[in-house]
Amino acid sequence: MTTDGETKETTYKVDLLTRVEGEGSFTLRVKDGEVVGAALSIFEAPRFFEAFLRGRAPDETVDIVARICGICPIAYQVGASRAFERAFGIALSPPLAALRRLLYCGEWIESHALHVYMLHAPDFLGYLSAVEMAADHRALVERGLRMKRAGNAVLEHLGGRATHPVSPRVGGFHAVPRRQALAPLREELARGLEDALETVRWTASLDAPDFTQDYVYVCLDDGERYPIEAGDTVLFSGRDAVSLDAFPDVIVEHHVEHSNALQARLTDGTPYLTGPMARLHHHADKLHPLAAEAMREAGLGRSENNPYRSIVVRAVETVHAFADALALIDGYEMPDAPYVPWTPKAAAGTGASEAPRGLCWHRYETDEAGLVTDARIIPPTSQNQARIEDDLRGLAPHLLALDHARATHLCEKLIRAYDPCISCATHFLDLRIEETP
Amino acid sequence: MSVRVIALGSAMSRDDGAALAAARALEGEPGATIVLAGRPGPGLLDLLAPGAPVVLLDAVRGGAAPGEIVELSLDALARAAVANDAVSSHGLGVASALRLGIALGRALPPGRFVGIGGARFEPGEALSPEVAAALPRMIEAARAAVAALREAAQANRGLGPERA
Repeated sequence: MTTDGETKETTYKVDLLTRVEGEGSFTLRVKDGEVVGAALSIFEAPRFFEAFLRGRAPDETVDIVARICGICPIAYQVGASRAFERAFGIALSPPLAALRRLLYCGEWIESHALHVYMLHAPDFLGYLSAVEMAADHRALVERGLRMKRAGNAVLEHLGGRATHPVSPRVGGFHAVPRRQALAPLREELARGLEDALETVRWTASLDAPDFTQDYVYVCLDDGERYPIEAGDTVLFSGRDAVSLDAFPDVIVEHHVEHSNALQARLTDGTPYLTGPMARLHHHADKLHPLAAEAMREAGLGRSENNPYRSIVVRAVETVHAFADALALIDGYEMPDAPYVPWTPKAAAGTGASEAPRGLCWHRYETDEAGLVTDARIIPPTSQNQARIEDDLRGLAPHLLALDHARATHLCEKLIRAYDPCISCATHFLDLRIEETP
Repeated sequence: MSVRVIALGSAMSRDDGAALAAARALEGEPGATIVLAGRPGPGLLDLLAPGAPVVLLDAVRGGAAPGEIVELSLDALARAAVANDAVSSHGLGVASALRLGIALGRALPPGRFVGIGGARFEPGEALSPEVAAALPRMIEAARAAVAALREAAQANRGLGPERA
């Protein structure tokens, strides 16, 4: 806190955000009650991949983009696959499409469970990390890990392995399971569904700061279904929907000095929100009945506009993913072929899916041999980045009455509510050996 | 008695793929079961079983020079201060994952950590020259750790050395 003559400027700053995916920092500067600066600085990995993808074959691209994120590889694999499928005119058979959705449900489950319990819960329960929290709330953390394990089991069964699955490919899968091979998943998912319902009740009981914002909610439209792995139209609250191809025409990605990531806004400069709250706003009536009931019991409205309550929305979506996965397993018919054959050609196509943390959009151009000549990926966190900064600005008046540490934590907690996936670089081990007696 | 060799990292992030490359070189090694785990985060706990010996392989970004081999007991690794310990649960590192297990009351299995200092971690497949040159030493260290853990397990069971 600094005082300069008659003016008073307060800076809330965290140089290294914890419990987000990747390395980031934020600074919020408030002078005489007015916000004079709000900056979320992040390092965004996917930009490097776009150049890396040139010259690659479509299926090689699907394998490579899985490495963009260790926590949501399916989002990248499905987005890329859909872009090539749309470019080459490939239509998945219903059983293959169902299998892809089941795989994606696994990713939602493991990602949402991880965020709710390991990333965001420590904020609500007053711990620096999930490791510290686990010592006092063992059953709670075990429940989160159990749910995450169920999601991982789906990825392993269908994707070949949980981290960076290898089975998805353009037009379907390299291999598909027999019906009986999915039976072991059912019991684990059924247990997970009970855990997920309990998670909604628990998250609804957490104290959320009283803070609301007006959002432009942006997400995919997949007809009668809650959007996960498919959808050819992008919805905007209060504005016209657009096709996937036209999506880049209604947003602008621009570079800001304080961040390596591009920030996306609508063309009129308005920031927008993508992710669970946006999906709920547009599609609450398409939730599985169990999830819809859990949502009502939790007191959630379809237009939840308190970002601190996103933990409850995420929990509701986890119920939906478990219930949907169980229904997909029960209705599973082994596809006649693991993938739809296709011929490479010169083409361009867009594809998108709803990653756990929001809309993930892809576009690829290929040459006559089907090799990528141009790639563009707009990940959810770069879309939410400007919205997070606006939230920080909106939060400023609420901070003035708080002590500095508490105010700073409230900012961190807000950023974490977005489940930002800044980079995948934080796996790296920085060792400082300090022997303790 | 088989020792589970769990390799962590990403083959698409240059030196972060060193542990995976080392583990592949150990495939077919008698008494070793290779697991290419990627970046499992807290899922690492699902790969550990009480009493089942394990060798963890990973690249180290800080605290080790490029190509330097770091060997630790799992207990020492769990107690090591990690610079970005709380940065991410998505990428919950190996030390944090072990600490999480301890906090949950799970006993660490007998095991060793073998790390290799990395130099470059940007997207790409090629190891940096220092790491590529040191990879045989990492493989040997992992091989020795497997042998030592097998020997210890046999001694604990009151058995003599297994015949090859």
